Amino acid sequence: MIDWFHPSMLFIFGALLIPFLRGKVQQAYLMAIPALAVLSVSLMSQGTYWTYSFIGNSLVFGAVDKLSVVFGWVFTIMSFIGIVYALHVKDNGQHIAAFLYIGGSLGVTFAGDYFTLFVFWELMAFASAYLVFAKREKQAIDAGYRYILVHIFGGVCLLGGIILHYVSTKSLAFGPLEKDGSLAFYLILTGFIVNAAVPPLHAWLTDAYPEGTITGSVFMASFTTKTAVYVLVRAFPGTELLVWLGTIMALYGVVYAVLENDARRLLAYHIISQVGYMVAGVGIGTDLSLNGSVSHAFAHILYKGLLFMGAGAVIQMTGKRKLTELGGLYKTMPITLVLYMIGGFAISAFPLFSGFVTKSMVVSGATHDHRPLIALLLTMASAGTFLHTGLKLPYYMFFGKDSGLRAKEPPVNMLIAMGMAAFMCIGIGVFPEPLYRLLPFAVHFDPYTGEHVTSALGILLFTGLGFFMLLKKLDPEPTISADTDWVYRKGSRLFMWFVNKPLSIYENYLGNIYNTWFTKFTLYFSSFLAKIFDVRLIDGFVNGIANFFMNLAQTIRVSGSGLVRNYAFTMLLGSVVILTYYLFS
Amino acid sequence: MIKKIVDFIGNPDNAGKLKKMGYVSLVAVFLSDFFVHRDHAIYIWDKIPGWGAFYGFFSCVVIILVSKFIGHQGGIMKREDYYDD
Amino acid sequence: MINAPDFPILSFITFFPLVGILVICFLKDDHHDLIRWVAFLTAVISFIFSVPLYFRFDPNTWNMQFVEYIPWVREFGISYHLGIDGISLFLVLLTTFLSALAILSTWTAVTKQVKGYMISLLFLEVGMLGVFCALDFFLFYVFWEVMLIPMYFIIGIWGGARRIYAAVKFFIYTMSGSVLMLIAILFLYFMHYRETGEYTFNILTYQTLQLPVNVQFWLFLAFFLAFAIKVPMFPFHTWLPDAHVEAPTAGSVILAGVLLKMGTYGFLRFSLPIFPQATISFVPLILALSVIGIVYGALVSIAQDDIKKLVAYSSVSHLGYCMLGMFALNIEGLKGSIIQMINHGLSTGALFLIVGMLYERRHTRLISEYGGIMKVMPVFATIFLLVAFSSMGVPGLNGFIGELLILIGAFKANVWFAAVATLGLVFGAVYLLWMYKRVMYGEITKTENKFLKDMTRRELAYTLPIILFIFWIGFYPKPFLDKLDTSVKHLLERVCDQKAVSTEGQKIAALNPNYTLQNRALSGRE
Repeated sequence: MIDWFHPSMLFIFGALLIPFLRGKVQQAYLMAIPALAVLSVSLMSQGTYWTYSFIGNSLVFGAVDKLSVVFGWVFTIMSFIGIVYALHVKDNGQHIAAFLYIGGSLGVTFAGDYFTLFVFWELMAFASAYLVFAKREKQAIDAGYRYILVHIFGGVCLLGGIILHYVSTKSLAFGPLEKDGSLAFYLILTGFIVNAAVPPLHAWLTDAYPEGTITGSVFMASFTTKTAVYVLVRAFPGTELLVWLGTIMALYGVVYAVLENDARRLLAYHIISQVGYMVAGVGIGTDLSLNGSVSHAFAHILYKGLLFMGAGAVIQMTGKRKLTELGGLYKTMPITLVLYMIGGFAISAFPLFSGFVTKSMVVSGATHDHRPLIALLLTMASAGTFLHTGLKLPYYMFFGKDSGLRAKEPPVNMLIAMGMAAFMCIGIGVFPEPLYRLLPFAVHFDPYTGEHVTSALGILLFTGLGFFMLLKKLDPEPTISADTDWVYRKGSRLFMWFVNKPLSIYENYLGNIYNTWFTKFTLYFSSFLAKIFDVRLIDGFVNGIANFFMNLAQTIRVSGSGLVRNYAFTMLLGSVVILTYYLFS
Repeated sequence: MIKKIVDFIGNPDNAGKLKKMGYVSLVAVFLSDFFVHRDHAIYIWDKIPGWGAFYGFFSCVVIILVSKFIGHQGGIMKREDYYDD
Repeated sequence: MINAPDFPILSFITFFPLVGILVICFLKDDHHDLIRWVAFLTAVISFIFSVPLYFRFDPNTWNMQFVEYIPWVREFGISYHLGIDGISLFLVLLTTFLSALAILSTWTAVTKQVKGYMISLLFLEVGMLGVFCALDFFLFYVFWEVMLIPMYFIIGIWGGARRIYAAVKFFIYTMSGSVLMLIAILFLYFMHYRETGEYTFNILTYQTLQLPVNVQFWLFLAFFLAFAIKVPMFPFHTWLPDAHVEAPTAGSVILAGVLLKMGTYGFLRFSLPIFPQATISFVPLILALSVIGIVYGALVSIAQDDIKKLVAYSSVSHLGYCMLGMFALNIEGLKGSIIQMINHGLSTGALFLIVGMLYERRHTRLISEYGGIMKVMPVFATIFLLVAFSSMGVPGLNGFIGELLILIGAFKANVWFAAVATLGLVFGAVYLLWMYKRVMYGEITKTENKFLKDMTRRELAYTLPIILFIFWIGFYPKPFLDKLDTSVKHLLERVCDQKAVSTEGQKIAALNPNYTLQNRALSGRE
């Protein structure tokens, strides 16, 4: 009897069978895998499983404790809901990518060492990139390309940090990091916060999520950022920097969401806002705030999934994604509207909905940690949340100026999926106990105190008042917002210019050195040698000697002219020379 | 049944009735804040009844005004084909 | 010494292609298919006979194995001396493997003077194997030079438009390095005679000498130039783009897959063990040049429109990683370097094969001529993507293992260089993915592209074996890394034990050459 089975294996190996099945069989199979995964999570008990030795270190695939189990639960549940939502999709590639993506998330969740974590992290990046590319339009392909590059950059930072960490501590175990401010610390942090979409490294999310497929974005909204939250909770609890980053994130997302016209991009900015709560909670680091982050992540996956599903349904049925082009859909899509609103109420932390029992834990955590400013700012962001997700978006999508669109309700499977998510949103809100029991630390928090309920309702309803009073100012405008992706979108032009012009010119120059210096120089030098040196000097020298002898010969030749007196003179001269030689040697 | 409720809300003719219901609920919530126990209040503002209502309204207005301001004056909002050259 | 069993396996593998050449000489010129088959089978047989090398290799000793030793010219100390150790084992296997695949790829690519082409390729294989197996300097040099001639012909006769220029450039660059190496070899030779009264070219003897430091410096420099040109290291790399672009596909595959490794092999076999102190003092320079090569190669790749040139510059970048790992002078770096040599041979060889497939169909290598190819060649798209991922170092594939080990080693040696090198990984992804996007995605803009045929069975036959290894080494590198272990440790001991003597190695003195990723104790040697 196996004592533990890694749910991620179900997805990763399960993906292999997908291309071979069709029709109803395939659909049944697609639903069975996540169901089995949920089952496997429910049967898990704490401990360390599936350790292997690889290049001399031990890899841990199954580090099971309360923290990983709670994320395991929500990931598998959401995977089931998402698959149901996507049942109608005929593109096998998307199903395979989704499975690999989910498998990657679960792999990260249960990883006990950095190496395993990294491998699954990269798997997630590539698999989710496919979901963006799968839309096959030029905008989607471009966005997908930027997405994968940003993730590769984050992955490389993470890899660098892991290696440095390993070199200094000789251990790959995944756990809280020493807050030593070392390069390894910051590199790993950077790698994690890229995936958590913390500004200024967040633009990939708002760039790519609205461009992905309708069903793909639902998955993406749920997994990448929450896996990042999970790893942050495990490795960086109490890091002060995160408190500030998180709070800024919460407000940043809200501000951009107010300005946004594209329905899904608005929700994407909203993800940034909500993850900001979670990141801040991690930074605060108390039991209460960490519980808050985790429970908020749990709830967020469900209600954000629901919101994306709802918006996606609208986009699918109307073909339009901009708020300026939508409106008046309440007449023909009432069920979608209601389900969406459940998500909206949940995210806004209305009492009786899931957000209420979770988000307030984070804010409470801030309050109890003597951080009044943080608590106030986070509460302000809550108001903003309700403002645009609970009020602005549905108002302009479903009510408002009638756009004349008469779309029908989406297919049944999508409605069922939304219904399941809605059910969980309400369920958690009304019965928070089961969730609280899953949380890593003991929970001493009671959300349903009188003051809490009235205060929350007050915030929310009076926000609504403000909304209706300032309605005119909120009308969506057909613009896009420039975000930090401006840096690499415009900046990349500069980079390409550099690579294309100066660098290439230099390289050509270097290559031509051979041409100029060697070939031309050598040829020049050798022709110099040939013409001048060789011909004049050496030849000249040789010729010179030859000339000398010729002249000598000419001179001597005179002596053999044939006249006797010349011969006599020569003989006399010769004998004098010989005698002299013998006399004086 | 859902459709009926939704239609009711959406129908522009019912705007008057809806507004009345809205105001009633606002007042009710505001007043209810006076009746609850404030055991866990840590900060001074938590002790004020109606604080949530006030802060919610305030936040909403601030966010809308600030965002639109940054958007328009800060040069964040651009034409839709800004990146497409 | 492990005595060779009765069968001289290394000689057989090295010289068997000559048999193929002989057979081909007797075939008629126009029996093209027959010639191709003979050549292919010869290479396959060579490969099959090289496989037992792996299985019968003893990983527990760093000594040379499968040694063949026949004194040749005693007066000069020249002998016929072959042998392999952990470092050269995989290079031999890579050579035979890639040669066979490269020959298979030329079926339709080369149609004129097929006989000469096959003979050149087989002759090249002889030269390459000889270089990796030779344990005698004279023999090594002969094989090294012998390699140049068929390569020159391959580029010059069957190459592209500027082939003569590229071939001559290749020849002259390599030759000038080799000449310096020859001078250095002779200097060593005579110095050894002066010290010991004995003439020898035996490489193993030189590896145990204690040479004076200043002598080491100059000799290292001479060898360095020869090998740095071959690797190629920045700034000696400019012959590579021209050679690769103009060479025919099989030529490029062998050039990138094997020939470049001779440079790195040269460092491992000669520079490091024979000149250890000089090695240590050159480390900063070489690390710097490697890192520059990594980044420079990657950046220039991005700007390329010709796919082959892009891959050529990517080789500069990849080999930069190998050199970085090697000169980190620790066990992870060295192992990573050697594994990455193999990986690069596989991935870049595969990339050239793929580009060759595109070129055969459309006779252009310019990215701007393509676009939307994925729609008409889906199988090709998948294989192309896999190979690109392998080249980028995506986890799960072979490139990641090598890069991981190299980076670990590099970070131990010098954090800043390693950090820049890590950044190079991002650039690598940029040029490959961008190229892939422009070629495969989007709309089909050129009508000719609409009619391209997907991969044929033959093309699959020569790419799938590489894909197999890409996955194998990626998921389960143990069989490969284990064989390297002992030889690498021995080399490291040889180099790092000199560290106390060196003046330069302060940072490196902190490294513990006995640190091992495996927690096995070093077992006794000899």
